[in-house]
Amino acid sequence: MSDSRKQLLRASGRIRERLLVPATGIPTVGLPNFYWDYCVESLQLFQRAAGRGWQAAARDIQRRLTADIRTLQSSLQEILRTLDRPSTPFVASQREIFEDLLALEDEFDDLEVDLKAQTISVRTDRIKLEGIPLGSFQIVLSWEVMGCPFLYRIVATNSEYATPNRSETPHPHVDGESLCEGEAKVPIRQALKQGRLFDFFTIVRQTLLTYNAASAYVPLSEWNGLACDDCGNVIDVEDYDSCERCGSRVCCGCCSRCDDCDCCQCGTCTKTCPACEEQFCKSCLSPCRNCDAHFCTECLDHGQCADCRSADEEEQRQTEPEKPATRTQTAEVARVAVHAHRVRQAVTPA
Amino acid sequence: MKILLINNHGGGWADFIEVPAATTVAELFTQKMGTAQPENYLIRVNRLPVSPDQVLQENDRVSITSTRIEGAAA
Repeated sequence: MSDSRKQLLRASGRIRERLLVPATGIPTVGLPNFYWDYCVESLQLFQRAAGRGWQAAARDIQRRLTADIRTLQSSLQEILRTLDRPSTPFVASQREIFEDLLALEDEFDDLEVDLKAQTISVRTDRIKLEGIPLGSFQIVLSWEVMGCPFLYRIVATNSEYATPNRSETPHPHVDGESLCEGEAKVPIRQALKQGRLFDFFTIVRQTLLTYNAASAYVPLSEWNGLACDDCGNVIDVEDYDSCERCGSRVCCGCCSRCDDCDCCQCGTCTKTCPACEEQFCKSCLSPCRNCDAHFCTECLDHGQCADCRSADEEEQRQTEPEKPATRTQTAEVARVAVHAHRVRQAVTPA
Repeated sequence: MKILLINNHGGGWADFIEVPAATTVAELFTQKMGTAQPENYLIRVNRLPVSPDQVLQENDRVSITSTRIEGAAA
């Protein structure tokens, strides 16, 4: 037997020791209170965000809530299956674990067994989802970390493929080195509990090969940045502003600041004062009480715009009756009239 | 005859089951997975990919894994 085979055999023995062998064939069942609590919390957050009109936040939380409900559903289905299946649970023997390790050598690149670190790792092929290259990933399974029977992590081996804006997200479903398992959660737990290492690595790989647009840390559509809702230009995820009126995402160039309250707003929500032609948000413009056009505070005088005010004044002038002349004015007219008469000039009444 | 059937879809269970002699992989799949489409699954016998008409043997280890397993966020 080669040295590498001996190492696999030793690893299989140690892993077998870590498996918890049930004493009886009676299934152990626990209700998924943990997932239920997650759902309740997400629903409350969703209702709060929706109630306050935070559309972008509400969309994010809705995605999370959907994923939480799916996990709860999947967990309940598994409990039902466990109760319906009274047979003795399967637990892999050392031989089966050894055969799993041998099969992993053929199935994956770079199978590494580290007896000292107590880890097994494999590397996936380069993964491309919806045309976006994500590079390859190392799946590292530890069979003893601080007393926990099995933990695993996902390590991106080509960091240049990570989304430039969020380096901690090398894959739409990987946060740091943690895979958000979604549908894979129960099958992964079962595979690890039963010592089915080949199945475990296969399930994790298939999860990495699948894209779930409805629940991703960073959707692939935003992998290289976000499209500005106004101009369509792609911008860095962390560089966009949200319109404080409608929640749409806009780039710096398309975010207009209200001259009055300084809030950020998109092109659709931006209003121009027709008098001074400065830009304002809808809330900072008020209607003229005569013409109903909207103006900024500076351009309204007692609720009236300049045009309506001028028109009012003009109308007022025209409708006012002529005032009687004063005594001084009458005397002056008489003096000019006498003088004009003497030099034969026309006299124009005042 | 007895085989080990592992269904990595949904509940992820593994059980020893009895199947008639000369059962093929395709017959077992239809029997256990109903209307599911075989092309959406990795079907392996003794950890190796097989053709649907392969006849199962005593103590075979048959695993069925979905090709699409949707991860999530958070």
